[in-house]
Amino acid sequence: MMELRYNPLTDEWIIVSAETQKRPVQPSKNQCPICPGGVEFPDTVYDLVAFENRFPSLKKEPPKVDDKGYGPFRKKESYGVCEVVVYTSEHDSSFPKMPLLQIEKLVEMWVDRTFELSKNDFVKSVFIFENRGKEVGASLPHPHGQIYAFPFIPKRIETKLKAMQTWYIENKKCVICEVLGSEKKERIVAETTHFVALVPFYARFPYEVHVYPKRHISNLLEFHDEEKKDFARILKIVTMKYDKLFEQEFPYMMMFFQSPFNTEDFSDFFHFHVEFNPPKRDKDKLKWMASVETGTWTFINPVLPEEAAKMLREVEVDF
Amino acid sequence: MFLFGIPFSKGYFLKEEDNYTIKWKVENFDFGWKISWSVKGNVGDLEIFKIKNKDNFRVFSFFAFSDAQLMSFLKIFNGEIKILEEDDDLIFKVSYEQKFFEKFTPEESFVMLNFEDKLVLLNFLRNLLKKENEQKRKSKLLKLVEEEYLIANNIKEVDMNLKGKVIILNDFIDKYNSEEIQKLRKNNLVFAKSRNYLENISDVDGFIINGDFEEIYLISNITNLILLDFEDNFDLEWKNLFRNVHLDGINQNTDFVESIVKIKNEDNYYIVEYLTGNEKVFLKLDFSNKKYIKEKIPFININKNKVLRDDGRIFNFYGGDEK
Repeated sequence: MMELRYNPLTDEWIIVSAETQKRPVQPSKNQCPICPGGVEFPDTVYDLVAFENRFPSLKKEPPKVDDKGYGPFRKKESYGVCEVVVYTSEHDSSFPKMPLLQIEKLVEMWVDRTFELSKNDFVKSVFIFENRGKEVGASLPHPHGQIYAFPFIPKRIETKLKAMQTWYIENKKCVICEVLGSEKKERIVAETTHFVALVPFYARFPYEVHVYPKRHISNLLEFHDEEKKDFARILKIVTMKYDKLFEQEFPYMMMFFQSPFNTEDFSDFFHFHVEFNPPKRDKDKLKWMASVETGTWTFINPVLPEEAAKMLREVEVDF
Repeated sequence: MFLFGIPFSKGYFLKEEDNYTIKWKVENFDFGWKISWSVKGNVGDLEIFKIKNKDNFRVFSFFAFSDAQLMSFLKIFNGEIKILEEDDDLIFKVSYEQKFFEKFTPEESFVMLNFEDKLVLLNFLRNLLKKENEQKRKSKLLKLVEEEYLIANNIKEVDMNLKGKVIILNDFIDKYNSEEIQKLRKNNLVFAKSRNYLENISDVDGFIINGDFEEIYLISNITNLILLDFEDNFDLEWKNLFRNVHLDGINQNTDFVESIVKIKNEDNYYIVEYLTGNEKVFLKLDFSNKKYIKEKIPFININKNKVLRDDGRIFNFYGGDEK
């Protein structure tokens, strides 16, 4: 069973996919499906690889949905692509531990995957992400991320697009360009030639970090070579700082927000950005997505963003 | 119901004359105003909008813009678009001459947009045109090889047994009888030139590129475009951005534009950033002097190998030997 179901109460699409139930959860190292010699690569060695998920939520050729529903119960085919992006063949590595060169290669791969996936007419949004740690539902410890190429613009991205467009029309400037121009040192975590990492004024999670390119760029396809390298660098800095903050493998959700494809052109006002949403509120405490957060999208952040930024800024990293 | 003495019903104002009725409404939205109308009866020429000082405006087939204003027809089903320059005035009209409508026509529309950045306005209009005309046409990149199309100089040359082929009529659409074209469209995709893309968007499946850069940029979001011929290299370079087919074997030397990443406007030139698959190309187009500068860089700096597995899944391997 695989289909999209429409929720008329919130005007959003839900992906129903029984396939995903079959995904392996936290297998042991010698059973890792994405290690060389594992189920996915029984006789293959690799450096980096992106492949279609064996247990996808969306497919290029999804099962046909003959009955499109009735009344308020609308459904349709789950067009899309779900890719697993393996960062390295080294099972025990992680984003912060990877050499900078490997992350630079990963950035090149992300750029190319964005291009390849966006060539499908049905793809409206290419969402690159990593769930790190079991606290955020990562099913495999082997360093990897995922890409969902959605056939619709997901609700939160739609909200961002609307907000950014409204800001642009009212203020005649891209909102993130304006944030970058107005941001003071107190929320900045790290800065490189082309990027700024900061705990935003409007952080929802404690230790949330956003990475903004200094140039107005709406998606990864616009990155020039220097920006690609510098992007690898800022991501390494942020993830290393996270691990050093509490001297532990810091769980996070890393998410890339790109302007949509094959639909309206949002590039004038949509500024590419990365959100790190870590679920920790302290060394041994988790910040849960509980009723208020899940039910109302209202977040209660127990850590002052300026304090979190100071803590992260003061963590020194070297590579 | 009356508003300020004017008949008003379901959000529309009504203007009732001897031979015709117009119902119209004005909506405020991002960057400006949208005017929508329907007509019934024998309308003749209908003046939609007039600008008193036309000096700063450049006029195109279905729109006109200055540095901070863009006026454009958005959706036209029945009439002929006319943008007239008379003394200091710029007049936007739709001609419904020799047409009689028993019922109200489907709604047609016009927009007035204001913003300081010309390209932002063009992009906004591009989105609006797509939204308003989506039911009529959908732009889909066709990659045609020679066996798939036929170029005809006259509709009589077209053999009706060419089912499935793309028929490219190397002439203006208004030279042909509408019924003949529609008959042909039942089995074939039909392309032709147009003096006004917006006006003819329902008549054919796509157009032979024939307009200015701005016109083609706006309309390329809604319909298919084919480049058949070109005057010079400058012409070829920029029209190639929006094309599927062109002649003289030159297509073999020109990279296929897979995706336009960004278009920037600086004074008298446009900078178009596009992808060909292997390369990223920066094309600087100077329309005043008909000059261009083209710079190419590799799109990605990593080795790549695509493998199709037995189970139908695609695996994309990257890296390995350093590039």
